[in-house]
Amino acid sequence: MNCRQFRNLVAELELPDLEQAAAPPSAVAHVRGCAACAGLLKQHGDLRASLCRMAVLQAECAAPDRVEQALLAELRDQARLPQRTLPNARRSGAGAFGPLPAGILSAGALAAALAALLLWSHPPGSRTIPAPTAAAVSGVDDAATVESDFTPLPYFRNSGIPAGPDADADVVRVEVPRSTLVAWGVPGAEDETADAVQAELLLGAGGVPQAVRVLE
Amino acid sequence: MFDRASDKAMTTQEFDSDLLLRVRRGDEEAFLALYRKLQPPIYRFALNMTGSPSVAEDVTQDVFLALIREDFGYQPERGTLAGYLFGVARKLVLRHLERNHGTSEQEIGSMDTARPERALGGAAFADPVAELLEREGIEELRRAVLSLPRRYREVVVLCDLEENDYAVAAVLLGCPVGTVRSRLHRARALLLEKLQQRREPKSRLKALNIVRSVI
Repeated sequence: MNCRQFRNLVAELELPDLEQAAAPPSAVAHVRGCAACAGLLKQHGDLRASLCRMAVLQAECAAPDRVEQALLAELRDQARLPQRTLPNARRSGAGAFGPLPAGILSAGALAAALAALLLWSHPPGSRTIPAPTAAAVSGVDDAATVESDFTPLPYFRNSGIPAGPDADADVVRVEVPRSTLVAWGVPGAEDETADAVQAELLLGAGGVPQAVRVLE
Repeated sequence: MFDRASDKAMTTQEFDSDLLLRVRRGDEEAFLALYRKLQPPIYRFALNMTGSPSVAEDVTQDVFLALIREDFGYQPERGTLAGYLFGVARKLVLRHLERNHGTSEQEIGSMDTARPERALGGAAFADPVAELLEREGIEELRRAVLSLPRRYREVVVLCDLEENDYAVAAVLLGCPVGTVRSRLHRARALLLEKLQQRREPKSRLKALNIVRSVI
């Protein structure tokens, strides 16, 4: 082994003391006869020891407590005001509903977009109204169990996405194109004559629309 | 340190996914369990990459804000939650570095005072002189790491400071193991060069002072 070959190998060697390392015999033989490479080996050993020391010194290093407090406050806000997250849900719906078929996904995205649009265009006081019946939102473990006259949205019905906290469910009033209601399989949507139909969306945790019902 | 043992990864992943599901439902305990387990390596990565505690703080906060929000795009079948969060942190760090064209000397200088006390407070030194020398040496090393080009700095931070093995670092960086190995080799050589360059002017200055005092 020559010096160049040794330099290529030196970063891979574990210890400055080659006798204790699983080093190739040719490297051991070379470093014994070459002071420059022995010095280089020692430098690498010292560097690694210093990096180890630095790692140990900062092992306890973590973000200050105020970050945790700020995040907890945000989490509480999210739980309290699920509709605030709806624009985000609309923006990256593909991430949240990745495995779903594209057609269903686009219907879901449309629902989220519609709801978001209306939420932002209405004054805060009219954004949410109380859930219509306790039965509609209580005991909701998955989409298939959404009760009353609400129709579970296709992506929600088929995805198995668990419903959010029941107490946080919200209902928002929206205007939905008739064709969208038909695509969602809402009973009676085919009979509607208007292009846009008044409906209510049931929003789960984080403001994700779960079900829809047509208003008479 | 990120999950390294492949045999434990599945269990960890299932556990993290379960916690994540609970976070989705607003469970604070689940969030704290996830946060306290996963934030230290993310914070340290950002700190070691940027040299700025305030940027590291912002990056950590943004990563976990993303986790809280509804559009968090993690898919368990594609990897561990820790790896995903690291990916988010890395993007934020790179964005910061691009915006600031690397780390400024001002940021590096501010580390001494802005750094949390506990970062260096864990070691117990019997000899104050030894402590001072050690701290000086570590600070010098930290500056040398910060002055490395970004792709070399990443591997030093992940492999040498966070003690991930090459395979884990390769997954986190999205590159082959051989690339991690060669970058680390080059990074260590660069570090030695930089440390030598930094020490030479100091030793010259010391020699000059000695000569002056003799005269």
